[in-house]
Amino acid sequence: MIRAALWLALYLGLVLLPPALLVLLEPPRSGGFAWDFAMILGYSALAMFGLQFVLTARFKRATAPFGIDLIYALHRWLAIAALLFVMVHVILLAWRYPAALGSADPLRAPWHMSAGRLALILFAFIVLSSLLRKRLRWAYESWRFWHGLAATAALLLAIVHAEGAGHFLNAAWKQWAWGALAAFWIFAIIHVRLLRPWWVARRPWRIASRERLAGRMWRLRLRPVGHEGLRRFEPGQFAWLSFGQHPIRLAEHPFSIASAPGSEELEFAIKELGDFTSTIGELSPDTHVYVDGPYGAFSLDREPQARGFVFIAGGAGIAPILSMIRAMAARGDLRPAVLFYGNRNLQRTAYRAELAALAEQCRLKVVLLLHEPETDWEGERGYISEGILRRHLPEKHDGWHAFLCGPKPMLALAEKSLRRLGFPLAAIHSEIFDLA
Amino acid sequence: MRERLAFLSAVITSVLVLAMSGLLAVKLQSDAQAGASSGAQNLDREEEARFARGRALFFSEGCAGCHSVGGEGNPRGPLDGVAARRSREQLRDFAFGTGTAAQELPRRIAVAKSVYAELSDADREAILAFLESLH
Ligand SMILES: Cc1cc2nc3c(=O)[nH]c(=O)nc-3n(C[C@H](O)[C@H](O)[C@H](O)COP(=O)(O)OP(=O)(O)OC[C@H]3O[C@@H](n4cnc5c(N)ncnc54)[C@H](O)[C@@H]3O)c2cc1C
Ligand code: HEC
Repeated sequence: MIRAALWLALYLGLVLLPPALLVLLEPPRSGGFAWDFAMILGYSALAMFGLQFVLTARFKRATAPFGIDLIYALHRWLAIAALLFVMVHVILLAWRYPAALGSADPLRAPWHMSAGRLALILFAFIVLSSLLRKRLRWAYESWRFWHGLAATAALLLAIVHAEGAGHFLNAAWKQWAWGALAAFWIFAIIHVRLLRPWWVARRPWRIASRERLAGRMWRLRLRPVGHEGLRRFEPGQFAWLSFGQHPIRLAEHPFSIASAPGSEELEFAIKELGDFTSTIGELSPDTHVYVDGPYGAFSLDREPQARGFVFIAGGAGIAPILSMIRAMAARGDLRPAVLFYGNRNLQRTAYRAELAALAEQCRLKVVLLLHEPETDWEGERGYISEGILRRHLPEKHDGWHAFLCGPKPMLALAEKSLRRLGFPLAAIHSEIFDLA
Repeated sequence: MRERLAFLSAVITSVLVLAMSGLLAVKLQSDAQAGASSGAQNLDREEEARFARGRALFFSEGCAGCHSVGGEGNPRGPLDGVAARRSREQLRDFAFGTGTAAQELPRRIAVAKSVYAELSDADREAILAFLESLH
């Protein structure tokens, strides 16, 4: 919590420092409140747009305290806020100082003003298309490509606009400082689009085995080719996978690592859901796979003082939780744990034998939950509820932490039930599989 | 719940950005008032009409992107009263970034003003006449 607050403070600093420096040191000539406010807001919004790239650039330290899903949600909300700020910037000027905006005709307007207008149009397009992507049925990969391209172009245009307009850049050092800041944002783009892919491309993986687990779930095991692989991660973390001869970065998908840290091979449990995941069964065994990871904050290693664990998984949500339970078994961690694992029926329930074996090894109780069970099923039915939790959790569970992963409605139910049982918010951790 | 958390964080952050931007603007105001207040004179309506052409060019050629006259245009570079401060020669040099002004103006500005070399002589004279009316 404190770390998260510190990161938010850092974010605020990065947004406000540039306009603050411009205004407080060698103060420029004031143009009246409306003018100055519009300018400062423009600079703040530009800094926010620049930081959008940093948010998604996968700098591990920055994402760690939040979890990737929260970062993406922040990325979305802050984009909307920044767009509103730019609109206030423009509307305020258009209302109070129309002549300063000059002609909107790109043939007559100064180039930096046209750059600003184009950047605004692109920003609006980016925000709207992202919010409406699913409704527009725009395929994820193609959207992501245009999103990255338009965002990069818009940021460059906005930087040109600010440098060209040059308001408040009344000293040479201010221009240098702005150039340096712009370089930092551009570095974030280069990092995620060029450096990281290059690093990942040098460390290919091969499919060691692939089998259908249950229903539409596949187990995929990867073996490193010519490098030591990925042995150090926190159980519960995930990696971005891409398949093919080249690590085509635009077609990467996040999947939780299902194996425990420390082994050469990595295991993933992948559910057929859409365009990409339904081709898992058809991948040729000598396909190159590229692994960018580990990422994420969903791990029991983040809560070393926990006295026990509730795991709640639905469908493919078992993957990160399996990694945690396997790690507990491997480490001889004997803290008590209860796993609630929801599926449609027994036949669709993956990892049954393995979970039973793990229950022998650790102080783990496995509760299977089926919502359309086979006729002879005698265990728990339906969805997770307060009643089900009460039946299987020990009377005293203070100091326990809960880890939840699965479909959104299940997460909502589980959270509500846990709160009723007295779990504090800070002891409930969830991973959402849907970033978009 | 996590989405609520993200939403709340974003709202708090945005409100803080807005508030701090406002504060910075207020700070700049008070600094400006503490310093010498530049007496912006209002423009004589008749003169304004007389130099309508120069005035129109002032706005269409982008001068108003950096300067204001009678409160119109970029308020940070008020030209109200320049004619009282500057000779005709200086006005010409500063307006179009030529002569000695080319050195005195910040380099960026001199470069920006170099495009005015493309104006016709008549246009430049009209702008100059307009500037001269700004006592
Ligand atoms: C942190 C995290 C861990 C995950 N772990 C697992 C796991 O262990 N096992 C598992 O089966 N699934 C996991 N997922 C979900 C998995 O990434 C998506 O199901 C998969 O990317 C869908 O791809 P698709 O092309 O088959 O589906 P599509 O038909 O493209 O889309 C189905 C939906 O999935 C989302 N989606 C598609 N591509 C991506 C992408 N590249 N990034 C983010 N969202 C996307 C879109 O919102 C889309 O609406 C995880 C997701 C996240 C965010
Ligand atoms: C890119 C911004 C920019 C543009 C465009 C611009 N100027 Fe300037 N101008 C400046 C700056 C900066 C100065 C010097 C600082 C100051 O005194 O305001 C200046 C100085 C002047 C001065 C001298 C002001 C004084 O107080 O001594 C005049 C007159 C002038 N400009 C007229 C014009 C005219 C006319 C145009 C259009 C043909 C124009 N400028 C276009 C930025 C600009």
